Amino acid sequence: MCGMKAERKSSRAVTLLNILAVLMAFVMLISLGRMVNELRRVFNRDPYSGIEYALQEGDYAGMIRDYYYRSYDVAPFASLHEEEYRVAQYADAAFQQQFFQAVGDREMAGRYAARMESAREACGSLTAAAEDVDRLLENIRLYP
Amino acid sequence: MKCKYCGGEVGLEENFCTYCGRPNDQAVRHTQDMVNFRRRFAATEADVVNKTRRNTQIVLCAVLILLLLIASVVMYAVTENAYSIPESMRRRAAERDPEHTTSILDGYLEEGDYRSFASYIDYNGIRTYGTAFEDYSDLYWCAECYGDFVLQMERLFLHTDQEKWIKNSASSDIQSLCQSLEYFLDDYERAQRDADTEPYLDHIEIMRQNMMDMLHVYLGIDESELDTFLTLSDNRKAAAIEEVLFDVRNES
Repeated sequence: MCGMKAERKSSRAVTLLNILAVLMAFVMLISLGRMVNELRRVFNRDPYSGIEYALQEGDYAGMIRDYYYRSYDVAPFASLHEEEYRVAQYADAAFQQQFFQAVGDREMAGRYAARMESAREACGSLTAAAEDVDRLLENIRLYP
Repeated sequence: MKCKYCGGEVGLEENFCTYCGRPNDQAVRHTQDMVNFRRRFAATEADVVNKTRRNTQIVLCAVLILLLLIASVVMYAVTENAYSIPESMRRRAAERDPEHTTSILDGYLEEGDYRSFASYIDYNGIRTYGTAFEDYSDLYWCAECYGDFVLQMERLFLHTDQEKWIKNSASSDIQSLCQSLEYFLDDYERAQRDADTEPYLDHIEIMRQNMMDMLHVYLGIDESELDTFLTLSDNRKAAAIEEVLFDVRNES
């Protein structure tokens, strides 16, 4: 009698443990899926980038911030957002070119002018954004 | 052993004495004892086997659950820190070949591209302490603040929807601008005192001059006002800049 009672108790314990094991296996599979997804995302040369949203908002400084973070990828600009990054590169170069020209530093102004030119050529369908940057810079009042 | 009746030698397994033929009581008791013993042994053995089988199942289940739990925890930790894996790899690559890394960094310095210099160090997770790049430490911190300052300057002007900017982020951007200026000046003073930074003091001075020039060119804060401006608190600096920016916008 005691043996049968003990056997029923332990078979209940085994059942419960089996259920727990199935649940843990489920949790592990979810963790595995998340891990694979995340590793694929960080090793992909084009992880999530806020640069598209920044462009939609007309936030060129936000694009520049993203550009500086991403510009040292092993395959620079080999991504879905190449044109956006070129717009950011153009905006940054244009701002700095304007500054160095205003203070009379021709060498630095010339360097950034060259960057502007190469970035603008690569803007592709986003040339209008580069023109928008030019317009914003023209509206800045510069103190002599 | 000896027969209790005749004294003859009789084995424990023999139920009758081979000499006198009388029953060997000890052998009978022994045989019965052995039968009982074997019966109890078999029952115990069966009991142990059953219990072991049940416990083995329980133990195996428990071990499996433990392994699955450990695997889940490890995978969770990897997922949460996945972003740092490529940076660690880049840092190791940079530290394995310090000459190559140094040549790239020096190249940026020669071009006066301090933002790219700081960004390269950030992106590759290069440590500027306790490594071959220690001499760059103060220069890096200054360049980092300089980059932040220029970015905040760009924030003041390079956005299409000005109304939205004024409403949502003008104050915080101006505060960030003033903060990056203050941090730069702190790093600048520290760099002046650090002998290891001496080869790079010129670059730090260029950054400082650029920042002062930007304050003048874009915000009309000229040299005579600069010292007063720099001694203001962050909030007063921010208020002064806001006044200049919004006056210009109203005029335009």
